[in-house]
This record gives sequence, C-alpha cells and structure tokens, in this order.
Amino acid sequence: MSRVVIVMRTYERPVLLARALASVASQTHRDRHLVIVNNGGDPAVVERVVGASGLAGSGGSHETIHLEVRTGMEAASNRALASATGDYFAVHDDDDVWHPEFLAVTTARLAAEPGAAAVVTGLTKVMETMKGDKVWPVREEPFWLNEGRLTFRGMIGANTFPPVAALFRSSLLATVGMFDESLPVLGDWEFNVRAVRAGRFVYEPRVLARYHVRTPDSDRTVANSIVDGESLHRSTKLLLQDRWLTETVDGVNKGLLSLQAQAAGDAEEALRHGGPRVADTDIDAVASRVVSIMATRRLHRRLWRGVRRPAHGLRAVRRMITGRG
Amino acid sequence: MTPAQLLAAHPGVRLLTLDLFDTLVTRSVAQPTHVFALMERDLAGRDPGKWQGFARERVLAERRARREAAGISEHSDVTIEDIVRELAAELGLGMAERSMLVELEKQTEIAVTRAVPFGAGLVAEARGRGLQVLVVSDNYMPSVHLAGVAAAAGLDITEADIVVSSENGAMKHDGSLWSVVLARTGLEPREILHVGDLADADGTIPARLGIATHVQPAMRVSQREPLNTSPAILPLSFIEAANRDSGADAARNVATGAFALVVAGQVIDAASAAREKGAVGVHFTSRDGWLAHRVYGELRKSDPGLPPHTYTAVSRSLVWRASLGSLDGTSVTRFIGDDERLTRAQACARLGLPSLPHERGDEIVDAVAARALLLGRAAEAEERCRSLRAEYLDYLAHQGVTAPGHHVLVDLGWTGSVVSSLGKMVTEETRGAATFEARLVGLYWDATPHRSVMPLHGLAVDELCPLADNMRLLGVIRLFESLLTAPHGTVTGFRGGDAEWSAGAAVPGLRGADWHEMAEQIVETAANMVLDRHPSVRPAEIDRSTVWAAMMQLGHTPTAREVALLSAVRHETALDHAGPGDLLVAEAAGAGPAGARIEDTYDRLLRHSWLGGSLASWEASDGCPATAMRVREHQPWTDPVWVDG
Repeated sequence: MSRVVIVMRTYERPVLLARALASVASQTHRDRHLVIVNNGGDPAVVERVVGASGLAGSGGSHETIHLEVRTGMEAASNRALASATGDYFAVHDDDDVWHPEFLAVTTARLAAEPGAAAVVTGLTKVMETMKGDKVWPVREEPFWLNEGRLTFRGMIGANTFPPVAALFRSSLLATVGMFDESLPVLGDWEFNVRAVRAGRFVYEPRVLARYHVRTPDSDRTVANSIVDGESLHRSTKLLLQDRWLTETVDGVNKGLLSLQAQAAGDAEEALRHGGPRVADTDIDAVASRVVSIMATRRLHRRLWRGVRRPAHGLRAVRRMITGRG
Repeated sequence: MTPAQLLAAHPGVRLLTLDLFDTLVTRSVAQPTHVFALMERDLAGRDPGKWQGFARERVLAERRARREAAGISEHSDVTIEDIVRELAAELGLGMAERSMLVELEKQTEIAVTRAVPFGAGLVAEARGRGLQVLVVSDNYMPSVHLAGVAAAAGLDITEADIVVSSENGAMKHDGSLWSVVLARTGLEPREILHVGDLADADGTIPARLGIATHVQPAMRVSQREPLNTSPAILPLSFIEAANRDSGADAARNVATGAFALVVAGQVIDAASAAREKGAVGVHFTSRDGWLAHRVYGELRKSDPGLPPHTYTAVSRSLVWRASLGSLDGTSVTRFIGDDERLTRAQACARLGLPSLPHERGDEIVDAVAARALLLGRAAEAEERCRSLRAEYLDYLAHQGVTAPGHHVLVDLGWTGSVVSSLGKMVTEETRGAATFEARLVGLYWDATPHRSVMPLHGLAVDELCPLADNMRLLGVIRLFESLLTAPHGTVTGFRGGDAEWSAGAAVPGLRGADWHEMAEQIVETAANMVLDRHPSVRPAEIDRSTVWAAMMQLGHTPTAREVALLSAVRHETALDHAGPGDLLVAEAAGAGPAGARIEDTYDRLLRHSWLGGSLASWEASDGCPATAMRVREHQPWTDPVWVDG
C-alpha cells in the first residue's frame, strides 16, 4: 500500500473542519498521514475538534501544526509537506469532502500509470449556506472536467479544478519545487501548471470529491476565498500571467499561451451554458493582441541581434525588404 | 384455485398456452432487472471500474432498443443482439465483449431460474388430460434459449413448444402474436386457455380475441422500479424473491427483508467498531436501538470476546434537560419550536415543571409566550434539570456507560444530536475517562455541527453523500423510526434509578398485522444474518451499500401492499410525546386544500410523513395522482429511481 500525505489547512472553521476530518477518517485507504495546519487560529479549538474526530481510530496517522502567526495558504501547505514524507500527497481543504474510496481509487490509478504526475477525479460542486454552526446544502452541480482540461494547454488559461479532486506524486516536489509562497491565492493553479510539464495528469471520471462553496448569504467568516476574494483572484491571475510573459515553454511564450487559452476557455464555457457568443469578440481581440505582441517581440529580438552582429542585421533587413522575412 | 380446478372450469379447451416468466418459471431474484445486477457483480470481479453501473445501463439499452424497434414496426420485438448493440454503443464495447455479454446474460438467466409450482402443475395437469401446451411469450431471447431456461427449471418444454415475439415479428402486448399461435395450431380462439401474469397482455388482449384467460399475478408482488438495479440490491432481492415464492404476506416480507437488513447492519457495524477500537461497552440507545440490542446479544453468545452491551434509556427531551446549564433566550429555543402552539402545562412539562394554578395550564399559547413562561421560571427549571442530571448519571453509571474507556453508542440517526449530547455529558462528568463514538444508520446535514463533539458514523448514508441521498433519507426517516422501536414508550425521567416511560402508545398500530410478531421476525432474521445462518445473505454482504439499498427499496419505492400495511401507523414527533402523532402515510387531505402551493404540500409531507409511502398512496388513489405528480416534478429527488447513473 502506498503512503499518502494529506495536507489540510484550517483557520477558525471548527464545524467545517470536523466534517473534513470525518471525510479523511472514512477513507478505506489507511496508509495515510494527515497534517493539519492550524493557520493562526485558536489551538484549543482545533485540538478539541481533532480529538473528537475519530481520526485516532481510523487507521491512518495524523499530526497538527499550530502556526502562531497566520501565513499564506501555500506557505502553510509547504510547511505540512516539509514535515512528512509519502509516495503521494493531496491537499484537502477544510471545507471539502472526499468519497470514502477517493484515496483507494486514486492511489491505484497512479500505481497503474507510472508516467502520470497526478490523478484528478470527477467532482461535484456543492453550494451550501452556513449560519452560525448550521450548514446545509442548497444545490449541487457536476463540476466541468475532462481529460483536455487537465493538459498543459487546458490548464494554462484558468484553474480548472480545486485541490480536493487531485492526488499528486510526491516526487514532483523535488522536480518542480514546492508551492509558491508569494501567491496569496491560486497557488494550486500555479503549481499545477508547473507540475503538468513534469508528467501527465490523468482523469478518473468517477465522482469521488465534493467541492463546497458557501452561498453569498452565509456568514462571512466561512466564505470561500474564490467567492470572498474574487478581486484578489483576478489580480493574482493577472500577476501570474504577467510573470509568465517572461517565460517560454517549448519556445512559446507562456503568458501569451495563458491569455489565448483563457479566451478559448471563456468561449467554450459560454457555449456550454448556451449563452451569447460574446466571447468570439474577445477571441479576436486577444488574438490581435497576441499577434502584435509576438511581432513586437520578434522585431526586438532581430534588432538586438542586429546590434550584436551587424552582418546578421543587414541580412534581416534585406529579408524584410524582399518580403521573405 | 388449483391447476385441476382451473382446467375443469374450461372443459372445451384443447390448447393451454402459458406465459413464460413469472407464470411458468421465475427467478431467484425479486425482479427481472436484478439479473443484470448479478451480471454486474460478476463483471465487477473482472474489472470493477469498467463495469460499474452496468445493470442500469443494460435496462436503459433495452429501452432504447425498443424505441428503435417501434420506429421500424409497431409489431416487432427486439432481440438480445439489438439490446447489446445499444449497450455497446453506450459503453464503447467491441465484438468480443458483446458476445461475452450475450453469453453471460443467458448463463445468468439459466442459473437463477426456478419453476413456478402453479405453472408447472398446470402443464402436468394439462398434458395428463391430453391437451396441447404452448408457451407464448414476449421476450428478446430466442426460443432455443427459453427452452434451456425451462429445462433448467425442470420443465419438459422444447423449442417447438415456444412461440416468442423476437422470432415472429409479432407481440403478445398488441395481440399480433396470437395470429401466429392460431396459424400454427389451426385452432379456434375459443379452444384456447391462456394463463399469464399481466392483466393486459395475458388478460384483456387475448380475451378480446375470444381466448379464455386466467391472470395469476402472484409472482409480480416483489417487483419495484426496474431502473433500481445494482449489486447492492441483491441481498434484499434474494430475500424478497424467497418470500414471494413462499407466499409470505407484506408484514413478513417487510420484517424479514429491509428491516432485518437494517438491524443486522446496525449490529455488524457496532460489533466491528467495538472490536477495532477495543471498546469497553456497546450501548444501544433510544427506542430504536431495542431490536438491535437483542440481536447483538445473540451475536455475543457466539463471540464472548465482544464487549458487553446495554440497552440504555435516553430520549431527546431527557438528554437535553440533563445537559442544560442555564436557561436563557438561546437554550429555551431547543425546547419550544418556532412554529409550535401548545398549552401552558405542556410548555412547563418540557422542562419538568408542574403547571402553577395561576398560569391557566390548559390555555394554548404560541412559541413566544411559551418561551417567556419558561424563562420566567428559569431558576426552578435549572434546579430540576440539575437534579435530573444527577439521577440520570446514576443510571448511566449503573449501566456501565461512565466506565473508563471507549464506548460505542448505537442509534438509528439522524442528526446525532441526542447521542452527542449524551456522550458530551458523560465525557465531561468523567473528565475524559469515558470516550464515545456513535454508530448510526443514517445522518443528514444537520449532523455536521455534532461532529465537533464526537465521531459520528453513518452506516448507510451521511451528510458527506450527495444532496439527493440526504433528501431521500429524510423521506424515509419516519418509516424506520416508527417500526424499529421498543415495545415501551419513550423515557421521560428517573425515579429511584428506574426509567419512567411515557404513557403514550408505543407499539405501532399496523393494518391487519401484529407488530410484536413482526418484531420477533426482525430479530430472528437479523440474528441469522449476523451469525451466518441465513439461507441467502452472508454477514460480509451487509455493508453501507446493501443497507442503503434495502432502505431505499422499501422506503422510497414501496409496493402497494406495503403501503396498505403501514398506512395506519402513526409517528410520534412532539418533544413531549404528547398527542396521537402523525400518520406515516399522509392522507389525501394532507395534500392541502385545492390550489395549495405545491411547495407547502411538499414541505408538510417531508416534515411529518413517510414521503415514499405517501406519494405511492396518492398515486394509487382517486383524485390525488396529480398532486403526487406535481410533488415529483417540484422535487426531482422524489422520483422512484434512486440508483443514480
């Protein structure tokens, strides 16, 4: 049996934490080590919930790290991953839930596919309302996921799945590095984009994870980062895309790829929802922007080369004049 | 009527025709589509991921094939090859797998075939009288296979004795197959007696042609929604098939089927947790732990290594009172619900307070006034609750619940509120020396906050499951609570260490059956299951999925005779267990006045009734099918299909 390290970050959501711990305790795959990172919350509350969770008798092992000062989500993940070793790792958010067979199925898939870096399962998005310590589901919908959305090109435009649906090979951490602690959100996306270059992400269509999102009328203290910090997500995404504009993948600009993929993803999403094809305009706009940026960058490269090697520069000018450039 | 009597009633007949399935032969499963569940179980052994959901897909493929065939000719039936072609398109199967599936289905059918005594007797009697016998069947299999099925059941029926729709481009369902029969035999319709199980295809349609008919539907009593088929259904399916074959009544079928499986599940789960955690005690709580505690006792006789068990009296009102610290504006809402109207005396009794003469005890007040009344006597209420707590803890100590070590609490469910309050109280009292976990049959989302008090385990379903299953659980809660109960009333207090029981009627009033007899059947059958003495169900088969399947088959898709049996049962819902309770099967009037909003009807149904039984009852009654249909449209989870794709 392969050992799985599970990272669970939490901050003052004891009721949701209790549910998430029950999800881990119910896993039929027992060779697991759960690292709970209490990210600056009251240690006594977390200890009480962990003590009442039944984790102790559920087959796996667990530890709790109490951080005195609240830190970023990715720093919390890295802290957990540094404290334990295993063949695989997963990031189980403290408000999400696994099917009892999640680890059993995903570890089997990764064992059967040695070239894969990660496996991502089908999942359900659960909208729930939480007020006080009461939490109740309002509606569910299938989360849009397929093999294509787990490729590099599928993922570079947008974060295509939440962490709870994925199991990663631990060796990835040595190959591509840890989570980027400079990112306040979307650290999982940035990691996935690096990770998928190191190995394929396989899709397991069985629905084995439940991604919970609080409705806007829920107590603000339990809101999801993606809902509560929508503008933060947007600005972090722009920041990442700017950063990627300075990087290339197989000779292609990573930032431009992200912009193109984002536009294509938006268009596909609009089509899926049967909405107006307004995204077509965006595609044209983005395509023009991409072409102009590429042309400018090519011109810059040639000019720089021309300055460094005048003979090359003259040849390039001649090609441009004769239209063969 | 015996076969001889039936034939004697038709002296001019020269040919006896019989339907095949459910007339001449039957299966060891409850309904035809459960054969596909057997196939799925077999296929899962080869590649579990690939074949999950096969049984349901097989049913859907047949429906698509039939629609396709109907588009070509209104009289032509489908063949097994047509069905497997549809299946292959859906599942992406190659030729080898298609052939394998055809062969597997034929083998599985033959393996589960049994003769129907009445049908077999009829064939023997007819042949003894010199009558010709033919099997006339609407079926997608070829006659050579159907002859094999008959042979497997010990019947002497050859291929030549079978007229089947798939080979003749005609069907019994529209009457066209009878012209094939008449042409083949050269007989007049009046010279034929046909026996089958379907009122239309075997009754009215041939009768319209002048053929004498006899409809014998006894083999259909175990059939429910066809799409609900998966390997998890099989344990209940085998039991219900055996009950059908033995002619068991609805009460026996319910007791030895779904209820026995739930109780056996409770016991197996509790014993497993107790062994694994090294528990020092297993405590069956509330009235709905009564039957399970008896079965656990039987199991423990054969396995003395299991920790000792108790039946521990507890109720919602008792544990809430005993756990009360201070009575304030928040805690009082636990005892008086927002929408309640009750007498002042009732309100006082909720906290064990006698009604004072000046309080006009029989005057009905709303929740606000009732809460104000209790808050006005807060100090007295708190004192009484402290006293109750002391007496209750004495009782728990006597039961061994406060002994140092780990304890397993067993209950049916459904929020974990009572058991978590009980566990919390004892853990606090023993300063952590006694720890607890609760093993419940089902939990829905209201359980979430209680998980931060103690581990809660939902055997069949929990709030981590899909929303639709949480809703389906809510729809069946009252059914299981009402029938899986103790013969005494609920515990209300303690005097001298002994529990005081409410005077309300405790035993459910069934229609035409005795609950005590049912309870004994539940205990005996469940004990046979956990001790591995049951003829068709092994202990290892009783798990999360099979218990859930049993709950859903009975609770979500009850048969007409089950609804009739249970329609007189009342469910006690009030915190003080006063009043007669609500009828499990909501009366037609429960739909509300004409023009009532469907949301209100649905809400009332879910809060106070057994939803599946009520909808089935309305669908069968005059004037109410439309309301039932509107409820099903309003809330798609109420659809009879609960095995999701």
